[in-house]
Amino acid sequence: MTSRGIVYGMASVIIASVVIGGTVGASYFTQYSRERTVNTSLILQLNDSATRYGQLASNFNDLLSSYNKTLSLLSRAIAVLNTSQPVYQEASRQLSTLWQKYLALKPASTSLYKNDVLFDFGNGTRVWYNDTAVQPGWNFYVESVVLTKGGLAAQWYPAYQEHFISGIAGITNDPGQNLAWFVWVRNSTSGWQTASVGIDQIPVFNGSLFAWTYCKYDPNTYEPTCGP
Amino acid sequence: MDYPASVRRAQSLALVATFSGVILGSNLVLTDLLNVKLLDSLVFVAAFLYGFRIGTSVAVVSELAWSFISPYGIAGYVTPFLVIGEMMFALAGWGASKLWSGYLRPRPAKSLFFGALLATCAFIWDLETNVGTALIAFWPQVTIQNVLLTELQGVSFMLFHELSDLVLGVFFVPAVIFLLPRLSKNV
Repeated sequence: MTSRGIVYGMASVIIASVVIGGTVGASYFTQYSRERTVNTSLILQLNDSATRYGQLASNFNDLLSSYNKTLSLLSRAIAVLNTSQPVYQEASRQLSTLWQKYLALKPASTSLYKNDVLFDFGNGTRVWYNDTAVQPGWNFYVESVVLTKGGLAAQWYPAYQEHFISGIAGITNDPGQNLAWFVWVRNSTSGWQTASVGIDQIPVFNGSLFAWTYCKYDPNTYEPTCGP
Repeated sequence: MDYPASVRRAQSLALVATFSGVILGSNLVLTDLLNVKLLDSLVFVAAFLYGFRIGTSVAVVSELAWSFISPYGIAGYVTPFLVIGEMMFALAGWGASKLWSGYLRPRPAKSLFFGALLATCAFIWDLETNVGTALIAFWPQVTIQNVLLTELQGVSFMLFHELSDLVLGVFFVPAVIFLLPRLSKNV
């Protein structure tokens, strides 16, 4: 091969390399540009989604706040409703379910009270509800309605704004046998004491300890013969 | 001095408004003590000092207003029973003033009588409103057993009401009856 042939050959290889390299480069550049456009679009979508998520979270919190307010209103309504009305019986049953749903959904930042409640059915069955989450502002009547899932038989006295509890979970007071439900409050100094006020007047607070006991009472003094 | 009718009417209105205002204010202050209220005592005092008409007006206005503005909610259907029951305190106050007209100095025996009278009125008020409660709760299946059960179950609530009226009747009512005419004379 002559030297001219070599020069032409090398020139051809170089030109071919430049053409192939350029084509590959152009192809990658096109892909890069396309990916960049897609990326920009995705970033915009992501930002939009983040904004929408923020709005959704805010709306959800608003909704939970309204849910909470509705629950408070429902509990207050239950506390002053005539207990023999079907609406009371339905609402008191639903309150417990609604409250459990709220507890599952509530934001972590929501502060609720926690307390312990004992139900002693007088037949050896003792049920403790420990660390029960309750709404600040509830009284022990509302908490009892929630814990018993509406299984609280009560007579509402509008003149006194008080409830007389005549039964829990199907176990009712029996004056013939001097059997009745008693509510107890425990404090650090004097231990368990029968409540000196009506159940509607007992506020629930963080760390409070209450008990319901079903047992005989002295017919002369109406003092219970049992304790929690 | 004999005032013209318009002045006397204005005085009556002012008395009813003042008593009702004090009653509602004290009820709000004593909200947490559910069955302890100055309402009964002040209705009694109003009727004792200013007559049955003023006492009844105070009873109706204050009980009616409290039935609607109570922080525990509207009393509802039991309101007429509350108002009628409250009018009995006015009747008792007016009756007591007929027995002890001119009585303005507290005496232990008479103070006890006032306490007993108020406690008796509270007892009748409790019986009457509990009948109302039973009628509302069990209507239209109201039976004697339901009414009696409602009365029996309400005993624990009644006791606080009657005890507080007894104490207020012994200590608060005679003091107000003694002081109010003297204070109003200086106004």
